[in-house]
Amino acid sequence: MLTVTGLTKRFGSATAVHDVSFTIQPGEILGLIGQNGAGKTTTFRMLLNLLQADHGNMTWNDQPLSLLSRETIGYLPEERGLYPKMTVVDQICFFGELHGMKRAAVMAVLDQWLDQFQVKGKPTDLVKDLSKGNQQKVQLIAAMIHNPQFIILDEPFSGLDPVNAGLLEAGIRRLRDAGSAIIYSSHDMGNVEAISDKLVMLKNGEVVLSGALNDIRDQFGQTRLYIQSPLTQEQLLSFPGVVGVAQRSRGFLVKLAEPQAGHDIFTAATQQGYIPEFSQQAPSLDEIFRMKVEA
Amino acid sequence: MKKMDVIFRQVFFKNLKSKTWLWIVIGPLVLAAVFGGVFWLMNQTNQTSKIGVVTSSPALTSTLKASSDDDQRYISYSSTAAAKRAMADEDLDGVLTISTQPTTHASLIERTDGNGINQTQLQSVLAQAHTKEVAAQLKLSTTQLQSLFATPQLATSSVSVDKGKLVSRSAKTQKSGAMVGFILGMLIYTFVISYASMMAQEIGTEKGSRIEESILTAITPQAQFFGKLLGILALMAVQMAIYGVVTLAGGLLLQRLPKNPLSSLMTNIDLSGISLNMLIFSLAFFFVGTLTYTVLAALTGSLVANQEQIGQATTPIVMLGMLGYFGALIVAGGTSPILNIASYIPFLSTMMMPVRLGAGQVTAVAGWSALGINLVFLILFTWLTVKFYQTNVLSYSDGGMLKAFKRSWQLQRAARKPKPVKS
Repeated sequence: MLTVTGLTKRFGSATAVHDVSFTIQPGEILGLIGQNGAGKTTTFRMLLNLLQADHGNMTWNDQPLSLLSRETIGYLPEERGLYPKMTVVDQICFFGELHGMKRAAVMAVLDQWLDQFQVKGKPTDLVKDLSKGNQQKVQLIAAMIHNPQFIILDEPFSGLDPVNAGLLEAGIRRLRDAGSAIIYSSHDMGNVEAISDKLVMLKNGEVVLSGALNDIRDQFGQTRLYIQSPLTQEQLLSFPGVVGVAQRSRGFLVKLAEPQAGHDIFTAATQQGYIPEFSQQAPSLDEIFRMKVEA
Repeated sequence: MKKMDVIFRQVFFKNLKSKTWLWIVIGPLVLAAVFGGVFWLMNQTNQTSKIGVVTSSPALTSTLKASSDDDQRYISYSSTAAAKRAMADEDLDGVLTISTQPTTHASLIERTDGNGINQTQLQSVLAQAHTKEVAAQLKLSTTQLQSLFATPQLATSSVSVDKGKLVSRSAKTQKSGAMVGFILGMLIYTFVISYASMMAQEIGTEKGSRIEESILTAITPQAQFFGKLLGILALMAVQMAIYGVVTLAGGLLLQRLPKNPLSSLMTNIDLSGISLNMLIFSLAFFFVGTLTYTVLAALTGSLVANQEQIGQATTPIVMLGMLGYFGALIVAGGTSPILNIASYIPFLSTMMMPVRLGAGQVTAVAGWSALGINLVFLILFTWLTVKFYQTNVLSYSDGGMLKAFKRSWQLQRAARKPKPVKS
C-alpha cells in the first residue's frame, strides 16, 4: 500500500505542493485531478524520486518508497516521447529490459499487448511511421508491459479518441484487477468517474477534495434535479429551496438548496400522472470540479 | 550494472547501425585513399624529361650529359634538324641549341604536350658549363676553380633539453615527429568532433523528445550517463580497431606491390624519431582528450530543452576543438609563452601537446605532466557533470542553454540543503 503524508515541495518562494496526503491500496485506482499547475506532475515526480520533497513521508508497505525497486514501477509521463527511428518491438523491449525483463519474456507477451490495445501496424514498423494515437498506445504498453505493482499515469487519456480511451480504460482496469496500485491524472471528468475508486483534487498545490468517488459526491447532497414535466421554468423557480433553473434539451436542470426541496416539486409535477423524467442526483464530478476551482 | 548494460547496448547497437557512424568510420578512409591515390598518380605521371643538345663544344656536351638525372636527361644530337625530327617523333621533350661564338648563347624549343622542363635546373647546368669553359680559357687549375667557388658551409643540428641535458635531434627527426604529432592532433580533432557530437545528439534527442523521464523512472541518471559514455567509447574502440586492421592490410598490400607507390613520401619521414614512449603518450592523450570532450558534450546535451537546440549543444565543443586544432597548427611551426601555457590547459592540451612532444619542444616529463593534469581534470569534470546531469536532464528552460544551466545550478544548491524527509 502506498501512503503519502504531508508531502510538500517548494521552488524558491513558490509552493508547488503543500501538505498532500493520500493512500492507495493494491488493486485500487486513484484519480488525481486539478487545473494545470495545480501540482499533479510535481507530486508524481516526487513519488518517482525524480524530485526531492521538502517535507513529508512516502511509504510503500510501511517501507520508504525510495526503497521500492524501480522495476516494479510503471510511469507514463505527461509529455509523450519515444525513439522515432526505432521499431515498435525494439522500443518496447528496451523499456521492458530497463524494468528487468528479458527480451524473450517481452517478446512472449508483446503480441497480446498489441492486440489488447489494437495497435495498428506491424511490430517491425518504425515508431515515426505510426499515427499519433498508436504511438501513444505503444508508449503505454512500454510503461506497463512489466506488470508493475505501482503505476503512475500522467494524463493518459489526452489525445485519445473515445474508442482508444475506452481501450485504455479497459487496460487500466485489467492492471487494477491484477493487483496494481494505480494513480493517474486527467482533465476529463468522464474518464475519472468511469474508472476511479477514489480521487484527490489539488488546487494551487493543496488538497481540496479527497476520498471515495461516491462519498465525495454525497458530500454535496442530491441537489441536482433533471426533470421533464408540465411545469414551466417560472413555476419551478417559485418552489421554496430552488436556487436556479436552466433549460436542458427537453427539460430543466433545477438546482436545489436542500435535497428535501425535491419532494414538493415531485408532488406538483406528478399531479396529472406520468412524467418522462425525474432524476435527483448529487452534482456531477465535472460540476464539483468547477465549483472547487471557482471557489 | 545490468541496467547500465541495457543503456550501453542500446547506444552501441543503435549507432553501430546508423549511417552517421558508418560515415564517421568510412569518411577518413575515403579521404586517405583519395590522397594516397592522388599522390601515387602524381608520381606516376612525373617522368624524366628528355632534352636534345646540339652544340659544337664537346666540353659543353659532356658537362650537360654528366648533369643528367631522374628529372632531366640530356642527349647529344649532331644537328638541330636531327633533334627536331626526334622531337616530332615524340622522342624528345625539348631541343637545346648552344652556340659558343662569339659568346655562349642557348635557345630552347619546348614541346607543349611533352614532360615539363625544369628551366631553373637547365640554367644552373648552363652556368656551370660556362664557368668551366671560362676557367679553361683562363687556364685555371681545378683546385683554383674550387677555391674560387667555395662558399662557407652552414651545418645545422637540432637539440632538445631533457633533464638539463642537450639531446640532439636531426632536422628530419624533428620534422617527422612534428608531422606525426600534427596528424595525431588532426585525428584527435576528427574523433572529438564526431563522438562528442554523437553524445550531445544522443542526450539532446532523448531530452528534447521527452523520453528521458520514462527512462529515468527505471534507471538512475548516473547509470544512464555512464552507460551512454561506455557505449560511445565502445564505438570509438571499434573504429580504432577497424583502422588498425585497414592500416595493417594496407601495409601488407603495399609490400606485395612491385613498387611502393608511397615510397617517396616515406623517405621523407624518419620513423625512428617516433619513440614507443611517444606512441603510448599519444594514445593516452587521445583517450583522455576524446573522453573529456565527450563528457563536455554530455553536459551541453543535457541542457537542451528541445531538439532544435541540439545545434547549440555542439557549438562549444566545435569552438574548443577548433581552438585546440589551430593551436596545434601554430605550435608545429614554433612556440611562445602563451602557447606553452595553453598546451597544458585541458581541451586545448588534447591537440597541442602531442605536436609539441613530437617536435621536441617539450620533454617526456612535461608531456606526462600535461597528461596528468588532463586526467585529474577529466575525473573532476566527470564528477561535476554527473551531478549536473541529474538535474539537467529533467529541467527544461525555453530561455536557452545558459538559463537552463543557471536553473540547474539553483536546483543543485537547493538539493544540497538538508531535508527533513524521511522517505
